[in-house]
Amino acid sequence: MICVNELGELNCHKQAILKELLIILSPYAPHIAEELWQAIGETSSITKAKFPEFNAAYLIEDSFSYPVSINGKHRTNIEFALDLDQKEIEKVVLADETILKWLEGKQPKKIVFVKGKIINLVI
Amino acid sequence: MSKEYKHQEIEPKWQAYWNENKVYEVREDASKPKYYVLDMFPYPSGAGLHVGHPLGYIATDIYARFKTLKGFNVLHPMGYDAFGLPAEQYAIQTGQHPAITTEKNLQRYREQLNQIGFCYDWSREVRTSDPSYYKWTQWIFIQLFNSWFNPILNKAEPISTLVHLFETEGFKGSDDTILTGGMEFDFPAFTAAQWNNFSEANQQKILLGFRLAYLSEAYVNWCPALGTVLSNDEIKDGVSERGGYPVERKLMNQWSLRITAYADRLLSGLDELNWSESIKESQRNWIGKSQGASVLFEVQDHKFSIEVFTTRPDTLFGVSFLAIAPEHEMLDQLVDASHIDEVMAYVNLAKNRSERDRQSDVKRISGVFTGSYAVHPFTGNEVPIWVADYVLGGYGTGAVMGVPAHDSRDHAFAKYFNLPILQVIEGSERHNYQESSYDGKEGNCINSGFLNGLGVKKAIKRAIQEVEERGIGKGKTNYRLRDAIFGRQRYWGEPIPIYYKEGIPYPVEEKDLPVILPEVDKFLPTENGEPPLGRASNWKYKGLYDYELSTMPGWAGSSWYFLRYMDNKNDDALVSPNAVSYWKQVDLYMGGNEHATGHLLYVRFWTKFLFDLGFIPEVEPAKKLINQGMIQGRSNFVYRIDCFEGDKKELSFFASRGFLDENENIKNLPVLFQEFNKQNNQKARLDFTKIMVVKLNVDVNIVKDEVLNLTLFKQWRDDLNNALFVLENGNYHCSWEVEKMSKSKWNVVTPDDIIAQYGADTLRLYEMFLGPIEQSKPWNTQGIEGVHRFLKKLWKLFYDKEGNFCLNQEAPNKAELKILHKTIKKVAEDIENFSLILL
Repeated sequence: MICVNELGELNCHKQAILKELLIILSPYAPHIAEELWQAIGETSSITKAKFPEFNAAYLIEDSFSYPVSINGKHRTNIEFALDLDQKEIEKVVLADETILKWLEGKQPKKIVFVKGKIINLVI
Repeated sequence: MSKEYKHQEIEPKWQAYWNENKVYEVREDASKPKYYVLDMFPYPSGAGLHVGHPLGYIATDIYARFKTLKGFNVLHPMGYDAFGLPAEQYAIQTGQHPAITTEKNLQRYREQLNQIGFCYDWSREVRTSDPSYYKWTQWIFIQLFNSWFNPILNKAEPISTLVHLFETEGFKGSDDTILTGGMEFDFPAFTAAQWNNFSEANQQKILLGFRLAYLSEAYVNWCPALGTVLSNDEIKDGVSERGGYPVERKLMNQWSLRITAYADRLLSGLDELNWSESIKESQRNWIGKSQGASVLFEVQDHKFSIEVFTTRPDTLFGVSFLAIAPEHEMLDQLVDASHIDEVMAYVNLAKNRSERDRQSDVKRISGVFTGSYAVHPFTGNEVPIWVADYVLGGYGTGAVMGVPAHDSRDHAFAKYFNLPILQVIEGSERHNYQESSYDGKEGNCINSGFLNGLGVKKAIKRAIQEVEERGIGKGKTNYRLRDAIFGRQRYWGEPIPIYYKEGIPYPVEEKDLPVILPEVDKFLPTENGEPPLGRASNWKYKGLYDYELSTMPGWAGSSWYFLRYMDNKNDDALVSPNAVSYWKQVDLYMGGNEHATGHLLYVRFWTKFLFDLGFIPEVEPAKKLINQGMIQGRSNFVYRIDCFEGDKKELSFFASRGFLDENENIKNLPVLFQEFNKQNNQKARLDFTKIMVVKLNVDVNIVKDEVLNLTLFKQWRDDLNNALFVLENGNYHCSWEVEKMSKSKWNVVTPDDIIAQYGADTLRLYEMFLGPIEQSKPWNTQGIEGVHRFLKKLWKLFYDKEGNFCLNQEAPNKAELKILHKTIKKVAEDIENFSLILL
């Protein structure tokens, strides 16, 4: 049910997604599932379909909201793609308004970066 | 074309489509793994299904569909347990043949089941009352008749193997451990030569003592009102489960099945099963294995002994009385002349109590002294012999040794009749033996001669060794389980396929099966007390021999039906080797836990038996068992205020819930009457001699959110046409309680009502939404709108506001794929774990 709500919010009407969803739902609500299945243009019963294979790869996040700290004190969060290079990330961090405010014009001596975990500026 | 979600249209359409295209028919298919999902089949009662019945069916249906989508070849059949008492009682009352009643009820069940959209393979339907089905129930009975249990091999074998043994080695009596393996038969020894010279009648009589289906004189639970015997599990609290009629003990010639031969295997087999611990524990208790010893007590001034069974031979020195069952066979011989009247009066009284009642009623102590004494085998002391109905005739030896200091039941008996209490075990703590017994097994023997100083466990062994050496007893295992009485003096059941030649029972030949249930003029016993089948005219085997007149019990057909679904049209075998080697056994079985010690035990017994004879490959019927909870009814009540002048009811009206307090008494009488007068334009005064509050069940279908529909209420029954009310803010509020869903409580909700309003898909989702499948829960429809809305939302993903089909071929993005795959994982895991609330 959560899934139907979420797809509704995304205004998703994509056959590729909804077709699989019908199969998942069909054990519970076989009539509506069969109706919508054949409305898509399927010609054999939904009962003859295959339960979709779960692919864990789709659950892996491709970005991360890094907590950014100055001298260990959490100041803000900034989202970065997980495959973004450290230099690119440092550029954005050092240009961030909140960070600039806390740096009070000082240059960090060191920037600690742990991929997918944290960013810490030492001043 | 513009479309809305109309369950009324789509559900019948697809049900017809599935049916026409035989979508749910399955065949053995070696290329796919099999999975067998089974519901306990229903008895088609006249009332039809209420919303509680399909709970388990929906759960298994979801599971079966899921397994199919996962690539399994799923067997998911349905049928009817069609023999039964209600149709017979209806026949007695109305003369309508039970077959007609059953057929009618069955059609109604089928309609209701169809509406819910189950994925049953109906081509495999079975009906236990169909001759093509009960032919095989009768066939199994004949196999049982033609078999004995070989205790050495611990399995059933054809009776011919026993005959061969008798012909070559004879029988050495109950001491013949090679032949009896500890099982006891009351037959004297005979040599091979003697056997060969025995008459046919004598040989057959002996063989009956070994057959797994046998005729014997036994005490049975006789229910005069129903005119039939009942098994222990058909009696509740001393009265018949159906109808609540009194049950008495009666000695009758009866067909029984020797389930006790399988006691040990039924017990040990439980460990391997993925069944709930509570069901397994019920079966363990029912089988009731106990290890101990049998000990002989010589009766003073007589030339015989009484054999007692005890699990605590370590307490032998603490014996202060013997208690024997009222049915004990030695009773007549040992009762002293001066006590005979008293004893006989007591025995007659005890006969009218059922076994279960006698065993469970621990508060009522009763017994009578026989006037005779036994001699204690170790001390030589006199031990009084009593008759007491807490000792059961069929259990162990029908006699127990009374050790009041160390058995609570014996203690109560000794206190009541002022018998000595002799302490023989010393536990670690001080104990007042006048107050209560010490039943624990921690401690050492005292006051016990050669046992003194030994711990309980060692003392048990030592005592057994001693009685064996002295030849006055032996170590023994006892079971509480009894052989199952198999004959019923009823019409609507499978005829037992036996005929009599010179008084000896013989099985009907296989080629003559089935023995068809004959037509009778009335469904009642004959004038001379024979079962209803005694009314059938010219009903003789081969035109010559009398048939057995009793029919099989309700549990016969259900003890093997899971096998017939595998191959339901086979006329040459109960199931073909091909089908049974593919489907094997039930993988998932769903049904109520009320069958714990009835059906679920009998079906295991028959499965083991058929396995022993090599007909099927598995020893257990079902790997996994789930017991669905019950859906209880939510009853609504109204309160009628009856006002009397003397004995005459002067005024009667219905008061809304708010005028009554927590205890359902009138809160404030003047206020109630003031409101009554105001609302009904009356002038009732308060001077009645008596005012009573009567609480009445009201049909839940005319109550919504606890508010009574007054118009429908007035139409509900004729006497309510002019009903008067006292309302709260214009509404009549009812009270409610959770009760069993039943017609008499007016709280039945049928799936038909729900389906008409919301559709089967909503019903299916909603029944699962009510809570974990194994829990019992009351029916309410508070959340059903939400579930129904969910289906409408689903619809809207496919059809836009104008009702136009709105799917597109765009590639899914990551967010959408994530939602989908999260759902795939969650739903699959939940279904596998039988957590069927769709979140």
